Amino acid sequence: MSATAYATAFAAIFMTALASFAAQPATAEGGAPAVADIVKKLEANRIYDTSSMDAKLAVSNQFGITANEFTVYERKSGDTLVVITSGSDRGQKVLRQKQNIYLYYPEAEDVIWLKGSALKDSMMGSDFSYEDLTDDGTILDRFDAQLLGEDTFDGAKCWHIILTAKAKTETYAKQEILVDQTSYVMRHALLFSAAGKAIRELSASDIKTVNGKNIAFSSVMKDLMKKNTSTTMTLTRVEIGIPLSGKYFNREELSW
Amino acid sequence: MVTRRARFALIAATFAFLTFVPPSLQAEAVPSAQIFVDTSLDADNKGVRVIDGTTVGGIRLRLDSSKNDALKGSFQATIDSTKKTTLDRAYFKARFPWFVEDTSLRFTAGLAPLSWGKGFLFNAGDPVFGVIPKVDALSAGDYRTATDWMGLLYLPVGTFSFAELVCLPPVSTRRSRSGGRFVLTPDFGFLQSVETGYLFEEGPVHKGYVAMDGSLFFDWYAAGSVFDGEYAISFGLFRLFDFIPNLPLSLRTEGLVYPQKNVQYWYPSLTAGLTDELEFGVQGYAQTGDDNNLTAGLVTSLSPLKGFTLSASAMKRFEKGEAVQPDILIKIGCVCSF
Repeated sequence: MSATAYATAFAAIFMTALASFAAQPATAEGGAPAVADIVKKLEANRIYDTSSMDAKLAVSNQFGITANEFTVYERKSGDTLVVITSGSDRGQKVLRQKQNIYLYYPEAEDVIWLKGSALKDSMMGSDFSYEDLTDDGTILDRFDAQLLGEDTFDGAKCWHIILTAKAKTETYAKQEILVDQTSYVMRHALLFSAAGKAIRELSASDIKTVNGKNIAFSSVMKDLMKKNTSTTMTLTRVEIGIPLSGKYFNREELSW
Repeated sequence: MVTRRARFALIAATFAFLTFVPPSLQAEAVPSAQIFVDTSLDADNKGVRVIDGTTVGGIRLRLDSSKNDALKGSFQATIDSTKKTTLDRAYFKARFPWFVEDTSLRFTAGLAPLSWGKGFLFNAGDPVFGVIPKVDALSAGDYRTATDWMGLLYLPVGTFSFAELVCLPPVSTRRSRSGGRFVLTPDFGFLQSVETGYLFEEGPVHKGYVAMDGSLFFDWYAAGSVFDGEYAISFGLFRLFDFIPNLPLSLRTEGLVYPQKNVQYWYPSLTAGLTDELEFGVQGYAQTGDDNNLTAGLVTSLSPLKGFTLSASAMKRFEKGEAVQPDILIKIGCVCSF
């Protein structure tokens, strides 16, 4: 699988996973709600029994724009299947099951288990690594949350929250996020390395409500370590709470 | 053997079908193509020369079915500037109900790839395509991409564990072959999967193997086999290092030994991702034992745009410590996919 395909799949899962920060016990400051309540509402927007979505991914750099389309199937356990449906990597698939990442290469009709150090591999020339895909949704236990106050993003009032990793093994030592006070969608995130340097930036817009859940239909990810690069993901179809067969999350479907 | 005329007829018929079938049916198939140009050069102290007959351009045409949950097909053929037509793959897959929950029994028939065993270059666990693949030169690409005519049954026995039964008729080989493998995925991390298989070839020739992989600081994989009384063991290590931010270094090394012979093969590779678009690496291929030789050099690939890749390699061969002709073999290639 090419780096571009990696990035497509990664971005799909990463961008959705980013919105799934869980709540940390915290104390309310002034008239503001407790940070735990804010993050719980944020998380509530991201937790569904099942979901399926189509998306377009445009990766731009100094050479131009590369477009891909993909379909994502996801269930509450965190199991996720990404199928690249257009572009030169069409047919390639990525399956996240628990902590494991599996890649399917149609050229070789082979399934590769991504393991160990290979999880650090960058995907698709993007700023993402496979380690980000292994996020199991237990960020609540891994980060301390602190409410810094209020801020605005794209005209929307937001809660300004800092998540600090409890363990040095986390991919991001600190995450600074803005949560929309109305929709409880994460509108902006700055992701920091252990050295304290901001390495990635995510911004979200075009908030729509689907089956009671507020979802950002447009997201832009930037790698702050590189110049003139960005990845834009646009959701074109979102279905939540639909019947979803378990067949999407095993090797047989992955290699189909 | 599929004749050249038959291949041409198959390709022509496919594209005639694409041209004349109703649009509603055309939407079920997705065409794609790759245009490529490759050339080889010989470099020495007298200069650099293109090696006669090595410059080849061509197109790979591909057709894949889409959005069918029970039946799918794939076709790919290559036509190059030497007027040679090669059928790369032509197969269909069909799925049927199966007793294991959320899985299907799958039947594949045609000219298809098959990946048995474990290995990037050497794979003692591949009784179908062999322990060492046919490789023209070291490069930045994959080495084990062969296909053959087959009928294949895929039988899931769990979420990731499965069995396969295969029959390979005497199309590309003189003798028919048949066998099976069982793949178990204990998912212990340090031991991710174990597989064992057997292939019978008319003759008779018996081929059996065991392969496994896992991760323990290094990602590791190994295979051992007995092919017609000849033992072989291959093994490999892989790790991606990130000593420098945004400069990933991938290290892979593989070995292949034949315990009954005094011959060993080695493949080391170190690749650096200088940017998202540019990779640069060193690779080697060595034989030790009764015969000693080494081919080593540099490989690089540049993909400024998705679907467009420039690649190059420069290799030098040594036998018993001495360089042999050509002094340096340079291969340059370009691929555009759309």
